[in-house]
Amino acid sequence: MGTYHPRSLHLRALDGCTTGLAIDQRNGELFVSDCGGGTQVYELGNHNPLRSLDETFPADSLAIGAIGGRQVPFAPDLRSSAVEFYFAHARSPFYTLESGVTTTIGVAYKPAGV
Amino acid sequence: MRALSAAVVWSMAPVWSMAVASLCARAGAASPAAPGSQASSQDRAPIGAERVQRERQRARERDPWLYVAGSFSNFIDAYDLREPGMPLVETISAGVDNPGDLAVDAQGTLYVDNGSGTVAVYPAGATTPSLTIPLVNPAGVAVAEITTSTLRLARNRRASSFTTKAKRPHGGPSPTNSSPYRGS
Repeated sequence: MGTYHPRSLHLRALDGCTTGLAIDQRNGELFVSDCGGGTQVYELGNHNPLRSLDETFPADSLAIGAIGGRQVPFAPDLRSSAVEFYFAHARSPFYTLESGVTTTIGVAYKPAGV
Repeated sequence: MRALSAAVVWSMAPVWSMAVASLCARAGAASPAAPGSQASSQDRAPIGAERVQRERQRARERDPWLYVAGSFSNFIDAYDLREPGMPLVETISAGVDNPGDLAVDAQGTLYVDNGSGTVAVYPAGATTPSLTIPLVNPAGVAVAEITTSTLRLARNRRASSFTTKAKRPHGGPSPTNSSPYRGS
């Protein structure tokens, strides 16, 4: 099965309550959300955040996928039924999906073609 | 009777009928024939549930979807990200119990982390799980594609137990060796 040795990435500007992780392979960015609200965005290989996303809600998980050829991070709002959509390199969402669930906690992207 | 069955099925899935009609229009294909219209042999067969299922699978494969779980909702909703308004196109409730994290692999298989103590696995297009993995209080699920093998991990809140399936090929890249973070 193999052996894996986890090690810290020493990412800065986190509050110790990490909940969601996602990697944007196309843009080389790592997204890290925390339970207190807000998501930090890191360039892969860098310890300091490039930017922070909207900090008004906690996202318990994150997902990234393509819509119309553009990479879009998805962040579920744990305090509502909403999922926030972001464009790459943006701090604020461009679209809010009001889902039918309550206390939105998980999101997953299925690409076209599967 | 067959026409009645088809009508009942379509009436039970209005969202899908709209999605299929929209997709047909976008693709330049003929929409499902209205009663009394001249339909080609391809339109006439198969009818009813089979046709609905086939159109549903085509739409599913054609468009990107977003699965959404709520911690107090014992179902998973799926939204079509390409259709105008991003409509709800599927709801999965079988095998869902206090869901948390979700993941989809490269084949379209959906993995649902259930707070009740399982990870439910749904093959692409399925709304009932083909596999249920028992775990103690799972807190997340992730899927990794490593060359030709697939590694599935499910974290455990209380212990570090996890399940794996398939082996990493000899000489394949190790996650610990491929990290871009240096000096960590």
